Amino acid sequence: MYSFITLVKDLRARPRFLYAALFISILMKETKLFTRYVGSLFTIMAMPFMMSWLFMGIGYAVAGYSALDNFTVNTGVKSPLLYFTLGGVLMISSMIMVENMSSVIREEQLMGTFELHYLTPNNTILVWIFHAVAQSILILIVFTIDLTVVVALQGSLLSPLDWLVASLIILLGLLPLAGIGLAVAALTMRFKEVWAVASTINSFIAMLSGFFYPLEVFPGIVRLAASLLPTTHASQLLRQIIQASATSLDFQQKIAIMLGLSLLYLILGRFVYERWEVEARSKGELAKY
Amino acid sequence: MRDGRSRLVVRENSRNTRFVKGPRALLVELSWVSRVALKIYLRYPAWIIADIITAPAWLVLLIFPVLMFLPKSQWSSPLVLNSFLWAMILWDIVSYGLWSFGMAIRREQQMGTLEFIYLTNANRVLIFARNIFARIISLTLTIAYTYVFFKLLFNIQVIIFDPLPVLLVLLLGLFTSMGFGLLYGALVLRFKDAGPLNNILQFIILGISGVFYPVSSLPESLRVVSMILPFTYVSEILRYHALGMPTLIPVKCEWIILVLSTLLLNMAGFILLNLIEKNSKKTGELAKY
Repeated sequence: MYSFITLVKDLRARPRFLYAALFISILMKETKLFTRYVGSLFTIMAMPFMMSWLFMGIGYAVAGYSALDNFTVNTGVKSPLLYFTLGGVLMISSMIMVENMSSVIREEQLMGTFELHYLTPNNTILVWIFHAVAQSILILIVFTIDLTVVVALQGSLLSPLDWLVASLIILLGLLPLAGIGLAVAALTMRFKEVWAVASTINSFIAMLSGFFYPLEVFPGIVRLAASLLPTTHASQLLRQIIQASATSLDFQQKIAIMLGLSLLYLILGRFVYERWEVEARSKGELAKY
Repeated sequence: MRDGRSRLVVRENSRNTRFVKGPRALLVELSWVSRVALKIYLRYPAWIIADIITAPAWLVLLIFPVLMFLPKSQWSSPLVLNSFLWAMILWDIVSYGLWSFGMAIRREQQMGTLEFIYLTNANRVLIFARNIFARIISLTLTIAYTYVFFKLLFNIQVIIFDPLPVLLVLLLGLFTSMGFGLLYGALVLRFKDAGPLNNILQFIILGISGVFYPVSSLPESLRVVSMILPFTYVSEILRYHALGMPTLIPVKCEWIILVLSTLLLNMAGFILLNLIEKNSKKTGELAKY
């Protein structure tokens, strides 16, 4: 009896920094899940390199000795490995983010843990956004190894400040996708096949963000659509940072655009999710799958 | 009275069961597994639609990075673009081996239906290879929309010198992929989680079996390895009949090697499946995943 009262008291005690505690617990949970499958972690890490080697292999086989010169003329970058690996890092990160956020409701529902979030005093939107931030941080840590290797292969190393800026850019490129993912999660609950929709969105983000080619290959209207994606700006800026060719005007402009897009998509995600949540609560569909 | 009635029903049911043997039994099994495969394939229409919608995005994403290695004047070269068209179709065939056939056994294990399958006297190969029916439809769809998108995106004339052998090699390629998948699937049954390995293997196979370029452009040491892989012959024969590109050894020999290796792979897959089944039943590891 005594221990029961103590337990209840402990549960009622609110931590001093509630949201910090919530974020840390989500981060710890995500870290546990992320590191549970070492094989998958290794694959995620190796994927940008494998894609780079595949593209380079095909490129050299098709174009022969002039492959490298053609590549420099077409992209303005001398190293295809650097170019493709940076693109691969951003592409895999954005895919993980969209897929994880899109399937957040469905997966929790399938595991039977979704309703449990509603028994806590936490704001559910904030819980999902914290999931996105935690995943972004973990992705960043994993891909730091990739970026270190690829920059070192070019014979240089980035300063800690450059790393910080590069991380901020990746984070700003990924967070708005959490908003898109949240909107998809809520919108597609009725159709159940969330993964098919997430895969469709991922393919267009991958095509339009210019991860592996300059966007000049597209007509003007497609380029305009591409500029609405945060990943487009992130990939351009990240390349400039790594190659030390970013001008301060470029940098400020793109950061401002990315901040604006982050707000826009997160607000959109919140709006759609809240509408779904109100309807699901009134119809008793929170736990239904 | 109630017990007596249920006994009567049971007796009538078992009396009504018609057992079939020999080739007729095989035909009955074939008809049922094909129905199951098509039912499962058509159960998720969102995936079929997503495959069609995302096709142009993936085409652009995979082709443009390689075009960066060529001078702009060659970007619309019919031969280069046609090689990509067939490569995209070949990629589908390779993927089937790993993801569709290779993972079929694992999926049954995860869903908890593998033990029930092994309780029946049905032909194991037919059950696990049932995806071939759905894959024939999906491959036809892939060819159709890849063709349409290539025409729309790149405005090229699709080259097919000998349509009949092309059709034959694609169909045979599916059976090669099935044989490879059965063999690989049997190993998956033994070693469990194969997701990460699938991703890595896919890139290796794509790289060395000449899916995107003729194996003649590979270095000597890699060419030897590529000649061991049956997918190399599917790629070589397809390019020969579709684009008129030369093969490494006389095309008749390549056909013979492909037919023999497909037969061998399927037989080896069948034997290994039976061996692992017997062994798993002894050790009690059938349901363990």
